[in-house]
Amino acid sequence: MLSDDRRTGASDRGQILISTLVAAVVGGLLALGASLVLVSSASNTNAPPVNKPLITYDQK
Amino acid sequence: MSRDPLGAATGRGRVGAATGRGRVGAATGRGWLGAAAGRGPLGAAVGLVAGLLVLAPVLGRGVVLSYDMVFVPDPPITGSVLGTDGSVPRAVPTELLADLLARVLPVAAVQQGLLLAAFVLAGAGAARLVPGLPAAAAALAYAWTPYVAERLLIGHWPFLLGYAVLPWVVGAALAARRGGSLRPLLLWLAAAAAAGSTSALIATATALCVIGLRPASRFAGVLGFAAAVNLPWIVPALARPGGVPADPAGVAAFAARSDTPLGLAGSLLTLGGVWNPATVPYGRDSALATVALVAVLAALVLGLRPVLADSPGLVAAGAGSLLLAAAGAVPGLDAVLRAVVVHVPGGGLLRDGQKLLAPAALVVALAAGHAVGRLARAPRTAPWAVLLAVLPVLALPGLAWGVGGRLAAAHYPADWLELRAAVAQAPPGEVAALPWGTYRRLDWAGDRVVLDPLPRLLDRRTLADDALPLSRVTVRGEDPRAARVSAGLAAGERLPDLLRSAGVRYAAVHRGQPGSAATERALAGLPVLFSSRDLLLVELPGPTGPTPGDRPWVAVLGLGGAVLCLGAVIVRRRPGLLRSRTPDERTGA
Repeated sequence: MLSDDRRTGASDRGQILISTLVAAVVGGLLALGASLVLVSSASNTNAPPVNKPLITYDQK
Repeated sequence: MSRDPLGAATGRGRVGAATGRGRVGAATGRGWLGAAAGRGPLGAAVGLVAGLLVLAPVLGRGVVLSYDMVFVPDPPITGSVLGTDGSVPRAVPTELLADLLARVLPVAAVQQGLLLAAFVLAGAGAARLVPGLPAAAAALAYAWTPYVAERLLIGHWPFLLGYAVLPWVVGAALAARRGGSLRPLLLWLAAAAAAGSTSALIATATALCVIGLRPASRFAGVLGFAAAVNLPWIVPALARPGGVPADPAGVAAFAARSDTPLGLAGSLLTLGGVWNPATVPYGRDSALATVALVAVLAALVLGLRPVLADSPGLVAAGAGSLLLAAAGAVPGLDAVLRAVVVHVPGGGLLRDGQKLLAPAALVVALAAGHAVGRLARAPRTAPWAVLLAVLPVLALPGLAWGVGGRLAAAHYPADWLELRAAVAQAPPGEVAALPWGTYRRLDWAGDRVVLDPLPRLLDRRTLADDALPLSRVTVRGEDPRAARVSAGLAAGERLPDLLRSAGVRYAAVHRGQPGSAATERALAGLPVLFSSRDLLLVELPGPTGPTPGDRPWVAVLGLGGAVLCLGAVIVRRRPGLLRSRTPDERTGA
């Protein structure tokens, strides 16, 4: 039945849409997490900012 | 003997009779020094409790790193420790003795043992100088002071050992003045010398004040012996090419300052006033400072008289130390002090004036003990005696628990020891400690400010910045090669060329410090011998400039001379040469 085909097609499109949305959200979250990890690891590298303040004898 | 506090304290008549027999034991056996052996353990117990209250958070947890207090595992005995490498012998011979102890004990145990011993010795020594149970109050008043807190935080542990030895020096000097043997005094002066130049200066000056100028032979003998046992640092200082230059800016920078709302005089009188605002314990800037002032004034008003009667020399030394401590901050006197620091050999020892307060702290502590005794004798005032006895702690709770949590212990990460091994395996050559700067923050040790440990860790001659950067000024160091590197960096010279011309073959970079990234960029492309999260070691290929050689004769002469003099005093069996003459003997009576 065409209607069945149409219903199936509509269902498929819905699933595709939902899958895409889920994938986008998950992917976005993953990308965001990866970015955070990268930023975090970059800030933890052995090369801190050059303009870190001088350590003086009278600092706490 | 009456129960009069002054008489009880001095026991003058009996001491005179006892000394007539020429035995120290007799001299001290029944006078106010007489029961010293019994009061010593009491004071030691008070000192131990005080020390445990202060050091409990760090005991058994690794080494304490705080400002100038740097201990490293398995410390190598380098030319710097012996005073043979031409550096200023600030830590000679104290570090050598600590390092030798660290050959048989874990370094953390050595450090914490020394710190705890300072509290115990201080308490026991002060207690021996006050009669009866109030000796415990004297012990607490001497062991629990802002001076101890500030010097502990800033890491001047040799000063604390000297501070702990001082009451023993005074006790021995009092006994010698009363006709006892000079030997205990000389041995305690040797102990003070082992605690370094500042400790020796304070102890010797105080001892000379106590024994007095007459007879001149005794005065000269004590002074001569003190000079001899201090040869380990005197010889390197005298033999140093160019002497020990002092930056005049250091006088103002390291002058005592007010650390309470009471101003400079109140801060010093309450035994604080360190120049460094970062090492002031909690509570000093509050109303508690007034409590401390009340405690000191009560002690002096009620208890100074017997101290003055027993030893006017000690009180004079205390007053003198107060004046010297203030000198750098008093207009007029500061100019005199600057002239002494810059032009008189050894004058630099007076630069950080507050460290000289130890005799004043002892006078206050003894007065506190006598004051507590005086109050305790009358039932109506007995409760006040208890209050006065514990007032040092009430006025300075910030000393407890690691100086308010500001002392922390840590273990060196493995890569620090791996770097040392890498340097040890590398062909001969001097190492530069980078980035160029004197102090570090170690994230594995609480991120506190601490002197760069690398020069102490490496078993190589290490070139390091020795300038002292403060918030408002940088006080120049004494090493001319370090000064040339500083000037070259300021002029924009290439770091590898600059270091090579200074005679450096390797560069050890402490990562994560201000200037580390720029330093690493400047050394990029050079052969890497070691690399870890915290540390980097590279070789600077090519010819290097000349480096000053070690001069072992300096250690031989200094340490050898001191050991010979000390040995002569220890093995001398003829008491006449080491016994002070009593007034009766001097007059022929």
